[in-house]
Amino acid sequence: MSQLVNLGSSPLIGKIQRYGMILTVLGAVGLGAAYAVGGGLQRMMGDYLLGFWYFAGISVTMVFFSALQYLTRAGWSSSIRRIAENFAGMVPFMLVGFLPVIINLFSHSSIYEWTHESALTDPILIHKAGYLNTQFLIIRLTLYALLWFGMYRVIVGNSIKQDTMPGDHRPTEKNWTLAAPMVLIYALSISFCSFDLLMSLEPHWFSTMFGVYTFAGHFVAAISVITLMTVALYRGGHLKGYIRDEHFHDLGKLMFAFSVFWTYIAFSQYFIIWYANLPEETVYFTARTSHGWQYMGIALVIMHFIVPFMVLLRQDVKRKTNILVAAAIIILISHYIDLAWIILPAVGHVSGSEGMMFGWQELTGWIFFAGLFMMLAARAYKKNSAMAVNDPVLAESKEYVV
Amino acid sequence: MKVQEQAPIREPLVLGNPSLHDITARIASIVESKISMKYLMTVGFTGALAAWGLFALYYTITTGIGVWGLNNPVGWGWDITNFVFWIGIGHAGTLISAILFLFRQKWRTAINRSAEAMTIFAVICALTMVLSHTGRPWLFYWLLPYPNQMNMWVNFRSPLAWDVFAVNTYFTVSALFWFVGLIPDLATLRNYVKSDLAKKIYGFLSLGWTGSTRHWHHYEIAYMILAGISTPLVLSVHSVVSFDFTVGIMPGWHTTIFPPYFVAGAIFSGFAMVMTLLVIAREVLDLKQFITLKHFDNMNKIMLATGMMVGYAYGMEFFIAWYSGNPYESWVFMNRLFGDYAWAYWTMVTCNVVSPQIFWFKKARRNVPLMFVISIFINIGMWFERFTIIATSLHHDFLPASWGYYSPTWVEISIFIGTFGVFLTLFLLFSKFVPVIAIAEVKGIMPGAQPSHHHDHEHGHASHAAVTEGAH
Repeated sequence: MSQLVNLGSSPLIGKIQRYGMILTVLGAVGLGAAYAVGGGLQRMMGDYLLGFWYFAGISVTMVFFSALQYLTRAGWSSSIRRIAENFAGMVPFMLVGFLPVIINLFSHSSIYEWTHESALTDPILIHKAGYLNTQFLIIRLTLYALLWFGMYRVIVGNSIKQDTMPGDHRPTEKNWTLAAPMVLIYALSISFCSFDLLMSLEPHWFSTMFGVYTFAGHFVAAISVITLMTVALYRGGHLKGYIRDEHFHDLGKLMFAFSVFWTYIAFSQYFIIWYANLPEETVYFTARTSHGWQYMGIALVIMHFIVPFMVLLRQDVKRKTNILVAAAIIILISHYIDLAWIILPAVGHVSGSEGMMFGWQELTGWIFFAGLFMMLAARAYKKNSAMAVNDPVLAESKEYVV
Repeated sequence: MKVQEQAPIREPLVLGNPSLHDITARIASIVESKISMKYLMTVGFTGALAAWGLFALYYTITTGIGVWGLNNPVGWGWDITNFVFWIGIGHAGTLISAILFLFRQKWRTAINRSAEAMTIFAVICALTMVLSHTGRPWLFYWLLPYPNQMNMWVNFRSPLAWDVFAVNTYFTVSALFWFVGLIPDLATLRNYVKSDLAKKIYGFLSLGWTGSTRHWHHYEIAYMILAGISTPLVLSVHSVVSFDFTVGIMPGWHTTIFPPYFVAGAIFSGFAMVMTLLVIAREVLDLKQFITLKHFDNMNKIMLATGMMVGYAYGMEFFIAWYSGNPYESWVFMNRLFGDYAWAYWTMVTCNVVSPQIFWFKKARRNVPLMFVISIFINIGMWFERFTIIATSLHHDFLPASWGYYSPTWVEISIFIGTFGVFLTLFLLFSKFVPVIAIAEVKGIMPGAQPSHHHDHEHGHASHAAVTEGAH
């Protein structure tokens, strides 16, 4: 197969674009309302960060997913790898996404406690000022955005270039060579970016595991998005013969494995801190297991672990698209709860709200970026082939048996 | 073991295009050939090392662990270092047999048998270390929860009790997995060997395997389930071992990244050990046809990847030690860099983080003498990693008056050398009496071994029947 598969005019992509537009508008209005009548700047910024990091993390992880397929020379995924690449459309615009966060740093009431005047007299924050300061943070965020854009250009760029070069495998071979350094860049940038955007919301708290923790959440969420799109393409009758039961089975296995992996990382982090019981570390969890936040923590245990585990354990259900869709949606909801559980208690604390801060406002940022995420994916589907048609291992994806 | 035809762009995994019968004959000939003088002398040497270690162990048990170099601030020394080292070695086998199986990595078939064997032997060494360190190993059953008239129970809150469960589960599952995988090959040997006694032994061990479709069906289900059970073990065993350190509140021990960091380090060190032994075995047993440069290339990539993960953890520990603003935490890490044990720390960094960087280059990944040297570096580095963690945090504790320095006595050194003797002796016995390469699995990845609608016209007859040929 070397004919490009353009789904630009398919009803599925039209729908994604339409719903994307509606959600973007709804979200933008919602964010405005959150600012004007829903609790002010800090709360709105918290909601923005929640929505932005949810989809920014997934988008960058999509590039990582593709790089990982090149790195491992995976054959099975070659027919669905383009889904990940098409859903990475937010990556070139990361700097724009960071801008509100950067502008907020200069506000007297930014959501980051370490920018406040009180930080100047806090001995621990004085110690950290070498890392947690506005200039250095702006430099770092710019650096992440550039690195991610570079990753996107290399991995997604070469993958798309291969589409028009049948028989000449140079773009694929380039990706095979460059996948390893890209994965390395991803590992470091996603860890430090999660320190900068999320962990520093609780500037006194620290955990060496935090980067791995956020990665685990983004990865399983990215796989869930890929699963949803794979099922949608299949039901729309696209990529016939290239999306098979075997792909559903494999994606189901990956969702299963990585929701367990997230649990392993989350449990280890919680357990080590709980057992040692040092106040400098437990502060993070005491804030998140009181005032109503504990229900989110319990929801995470149930929805990020028990339900996906129970639902996806059996072999036959991984081939039933209805159940896969349900599992993917549950995982995507739990990923939202996970990030909300990290971000909102800290923002609530800064904005002086007693008790749990959770309402319609907290959905606005997510809805806004969900819309952008979908619109950019639709744009990619209109521009690029829906499958890596000239991938040298594409035939394996058509033939393999689990 | 269902695998598809590979795309033409991929390198072949078995060289020389042997027939299925050639593979059986080649592997079985290792078992069939006469025991050479060279082999006996090697076993004699490794057996002597083991005996020396056992003597030191005997001396320890009859006299008490006071004969070791442990002192007041440093209550753990080479004993726990060796325990963690050996448990880690085992992880490559489990990763290859379980996770690479689930990921359908065909190249695993040439190395899984020997790597799994190493897992079992390494866990035996680890158990020796941890039992002798209890001081009164004859009371080992006190570690097991069982109803008794003294109403004594193990302390379930102690990570040392979790270790008992983790390591025993690990040993049991690994041994089962290895044995189940061996059954078809043992049956092949039963049919192949000439001596009556050997026929009886292999016949007994192969549990009446006939190679019928029914047997294969059951076998594949059992293998899949065992792979599923083993997969969490790759992560859980070393995570539990890391809890021995993290749940304490010692600076340098108590940090949240330890579980995945220990797992990555275990896979790293395990692959290094598999590499060291396979380079030798491939040369001595002439297995170049099956263990190709492609296999080594892949293994070196895994070592590079896990080495980078370990490096990530080292870096993260340092960064957070500073970022935390906790003076004890940052002091311990500066002490690692420049303190009494700085030599151990820098050995670790050089061996684990710097030396594998050469594997960024394909030429280096396919240079056998070079990878042999690097694998030994990694073995050394990973041992020093555990030693650094244990000794640096203990020797300067919270009370400066009790600060000290630890070095081992001849007894600890002898026991450690002895564990190598045991490990190598068991590996030599394995490589002589058991098929070192999973015959049936290698056949499964030969071109045409699998049913495939695309190539039906070429290999219409090809199916599992062909794979089982050796067992008939």
